[in-house]
Amino acid sequence: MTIGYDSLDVNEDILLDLLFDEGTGVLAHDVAKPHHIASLAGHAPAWDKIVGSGLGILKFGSGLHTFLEIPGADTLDLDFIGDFSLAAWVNPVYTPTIPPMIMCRNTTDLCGWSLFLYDNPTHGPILSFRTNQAGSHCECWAANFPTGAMQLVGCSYDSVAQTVTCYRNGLPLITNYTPPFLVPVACGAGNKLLIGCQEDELSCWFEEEMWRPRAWGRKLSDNDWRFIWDSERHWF
Amino acid sequence: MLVPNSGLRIDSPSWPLLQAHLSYWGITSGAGNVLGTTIACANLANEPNYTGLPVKILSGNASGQVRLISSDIAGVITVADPFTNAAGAACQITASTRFCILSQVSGGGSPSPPSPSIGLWMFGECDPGMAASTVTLVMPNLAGFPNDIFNNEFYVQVIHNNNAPGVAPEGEIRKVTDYVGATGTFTTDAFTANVEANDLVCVIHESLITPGLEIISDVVSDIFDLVNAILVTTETGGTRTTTAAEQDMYINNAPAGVYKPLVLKISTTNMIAGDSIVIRIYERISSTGALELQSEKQFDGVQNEVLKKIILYPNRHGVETTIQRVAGGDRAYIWEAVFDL
Repeated sequence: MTIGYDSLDVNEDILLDLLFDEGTGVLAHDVAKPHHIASLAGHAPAWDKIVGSGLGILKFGSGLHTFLEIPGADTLDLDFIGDFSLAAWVNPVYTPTIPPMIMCRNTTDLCGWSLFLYDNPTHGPILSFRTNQAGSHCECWAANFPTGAMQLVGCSYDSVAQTVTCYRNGLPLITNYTPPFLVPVACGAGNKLLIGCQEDELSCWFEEEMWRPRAWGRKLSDNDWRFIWDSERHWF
Repeated sequence: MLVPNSGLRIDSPSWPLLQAHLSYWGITSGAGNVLGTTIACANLANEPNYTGLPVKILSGNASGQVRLISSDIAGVITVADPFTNAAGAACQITASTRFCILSQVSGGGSPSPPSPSIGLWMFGECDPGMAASTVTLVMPNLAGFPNDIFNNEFYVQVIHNNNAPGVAPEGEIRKVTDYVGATGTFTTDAFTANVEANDLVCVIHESLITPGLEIISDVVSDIFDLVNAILVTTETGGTRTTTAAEQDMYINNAPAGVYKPLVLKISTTNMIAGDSIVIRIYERISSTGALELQSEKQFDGVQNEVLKKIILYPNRHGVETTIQRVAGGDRAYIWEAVFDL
């Protein structure tokens, strides 16, 4: 029995889906329809696997300053100005004062969006999501993203209601922000999609393990998140 | 029954009254637990079981408080709710504390709390002082049973999230992996969110669990794995510009399990006279083996059927497809791989 990838409800409007099943080399291919190709060349995380299941992952490693990039011109479809959602499986390691970046398309008060973690001195390890406007930005956070375990993290953004919800392991979390949460300004071809560091490619390094970063051009529902969690948690 | 008659005349009318109203009068022989839910009196082991009767503390910081006995086992009385001190904190019943067991059963008013004798379904209330945890639940009303009696046969379902009704872990069920009778501490498989003080749970024997419930048991997890193993047809692709070296197109170097690549398609639209390319397919057939050449095909010059299709085969240990220019110029070749995942 087979089910087509595009016929799965959860894959509706999916725009990026990096399976990381190459296991070697310096390219990671997107199984979503746009066929983005992420380059690891010159800054490659290590190809690795989950011991128990054999699932292929990327291991970024502490202090190694590794990341993936997709050229800006190839990611105009990820230049969100409407509803969108971001997700990834991550096992983060935190370094004081450094917010490990999961993925971003610019992180400054200019344009784009970013999804990152941070071991906040007050709130503990948090997930943050940010949209950038010209000269300002909107940012939210949700708590309880510990180190030491693979976890499904991400957020769903509603551009009409201008609200955002963070998720962990298929469940919606209390998401803290000051409404309204404004839509990002489009970056155009000038900004890459980066996975594992921020747009200067010099800081906010993600450390440890990551699998299957994804992006959708729609707001994933609670049921969508739960479906992903139920479908994939057995790997870890 | 043990009722004092010290200082009473044998014909004192107080004596039959005491006998009528008291089942037991004693002094603790040791300290109860720090949660304030147990009373240790070794002599009770020589008495009949008093479960269901009220026990009243007569000295110490909880003096005057009355609680219902939820279990009476081997000289240890367990009560459903902890004794408390003047500050409202749990009060440990220390050694040499005077207490009595009253000869009363409830009647009228609100119903008494459920009795926690071991049943196939039991009600539990998380201790007010319990630390939030996804795996450790302290329920004094379910203390007093032999250690490990619930292990791997009982499940805990959170039936009410006290501070956030309707929010996880409410509704979730997890298997009990350890039980400590002295404190009523249950260790379970991890809930997706913390179980917290005052949350209400039920402890269910596996024989009562039906498929309609959300159960994260080994059996159901196995079923999940099987369902998740149903293949999904997926595809990926890209553009590869040739060089004189062999270059990867589609590759799955270390599959997590048996999977099924279906076909590789390559567009040779950009080839011109004098160009030659070689497409190669490699497979690995053992975990420690190398990717070995399975087939290769050379294409020369302008192609009439520009779209080339190469069948790929199911495998366990990896597949690689490559392209190499062997004559002429370097061109960009669009490729697509379709596979069941």
